[in-house]
Amino acid sequence: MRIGTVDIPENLSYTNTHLWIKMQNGICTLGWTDYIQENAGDVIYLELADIGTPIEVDQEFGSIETSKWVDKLYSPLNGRVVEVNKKATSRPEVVNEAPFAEGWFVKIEPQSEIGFQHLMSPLEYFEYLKLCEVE
Amino acid sequence: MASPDTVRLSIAAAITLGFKRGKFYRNARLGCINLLMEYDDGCKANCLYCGQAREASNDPECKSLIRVQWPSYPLADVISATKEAALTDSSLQRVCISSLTSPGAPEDLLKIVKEVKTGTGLKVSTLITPTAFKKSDLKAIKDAGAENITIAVDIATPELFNKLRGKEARGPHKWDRYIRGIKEAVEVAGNGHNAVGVHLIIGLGETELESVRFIQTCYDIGSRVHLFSFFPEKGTAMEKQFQPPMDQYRRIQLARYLIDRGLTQFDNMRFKSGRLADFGLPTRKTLAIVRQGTPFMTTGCSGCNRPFANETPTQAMQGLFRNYPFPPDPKDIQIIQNQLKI
Repeated sequence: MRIGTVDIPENLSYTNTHLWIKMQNGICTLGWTDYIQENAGDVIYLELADIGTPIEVDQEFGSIETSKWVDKLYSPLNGRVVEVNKKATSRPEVVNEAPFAEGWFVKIEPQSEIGFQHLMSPLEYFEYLKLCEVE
Repeated sequence: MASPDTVRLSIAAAITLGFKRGKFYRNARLGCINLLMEYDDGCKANCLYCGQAREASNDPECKSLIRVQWPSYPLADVISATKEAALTDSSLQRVCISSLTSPGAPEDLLKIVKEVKTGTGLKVSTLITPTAFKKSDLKAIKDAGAENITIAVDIATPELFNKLRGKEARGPHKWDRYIRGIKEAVEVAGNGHNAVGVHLIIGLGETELESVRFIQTCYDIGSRVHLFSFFPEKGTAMEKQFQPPMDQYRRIQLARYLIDRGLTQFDNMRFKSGRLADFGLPTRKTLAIVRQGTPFMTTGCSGCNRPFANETPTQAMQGLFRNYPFPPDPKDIQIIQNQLKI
């Protein structure tokens, strides 16, 4: 699925803070969507929580900076960080180059079925981006 | 390609004009499109803190200035994009053209000023070096339509100037020529403090007394000071030096503002071991001015706000703005009051 030049892969879930989430073998991988990486600019600094860090919904798990902008990264789920993408922290431009592949942020082991922020389907995220564009 | 056919754009300007993707923290809006002239052989000067310095380790293609890269574009494209952007973006008020120290700079800057003025209709500022520009060059620039002439003296004392920009730094700049250049610019552009600006960087080894004394000197000559906070540029001789302490920068911002508004002057201020201890105003009045927040906003020609030029966005997020590119909100002002330590 695409909106303009922006990719919305159909096998992922999305948050309203423009994170994508992929659930596989009981582990959630989180990353930045194509939309936000396209709009925020070239990533020059990425800081991520350490492996083992317990994370709750809406709790900060990192921060990301472009040349003139910065924001914190907030978790959409409860759990524990089990893997951190060191390649992305040492070479942040990979977040722009491959947001859905080598540019992922962290892998989180969810604490339970509950404790997930509302996630959007690709279609819902598509509609949400239309609203973002209007704003 | 080189100037005047091409110019470099600050990243903020490139984003604003749509040449680069990106956005601004806290929705800051750029008020001035900053252009930088470029030459194949770069800048002839060797200022030890500057990313454009002759001996800085980066190659000419990737040299930074005030913290960010400056991508190159054809001047004609920049002019048409600026004109178009100004139609819909009321924040955009001005174009500032910075020259390098190069023998061809006066002639090339003149061509750029004429084209930018005609092509955009916006106000035009120029940043020149008295090493390369004579008084007659300044007059030609003014006659071509530039409203403002700015001189980057950068350093508050002749000794430090010589050490960081002059002979000791294997550079061509001379303090006396710079001070004479300010006077020439005032003679050409007129007094009233709005037409002639002087850049001053805080954090290059000077004391607060030296900074404020220099600021007062500039106002006495008839110019106005634009403040910068030192930021270590990668690849320069000073890349490992720290930014100045926040309380020092805040006090200099406040002193500059008070002098600028004619509320006090250097002779009324008191210093303890070089540090500003008394602004020469009743404390209640000083604090009331602090609470307005205006003294801590970016200083420059009207419209110039240089968002996140002297601090990273992450520092800004932590409350460590050096120059606020917009009016500080009540939370910002609380932070500023704590930082000031007065």
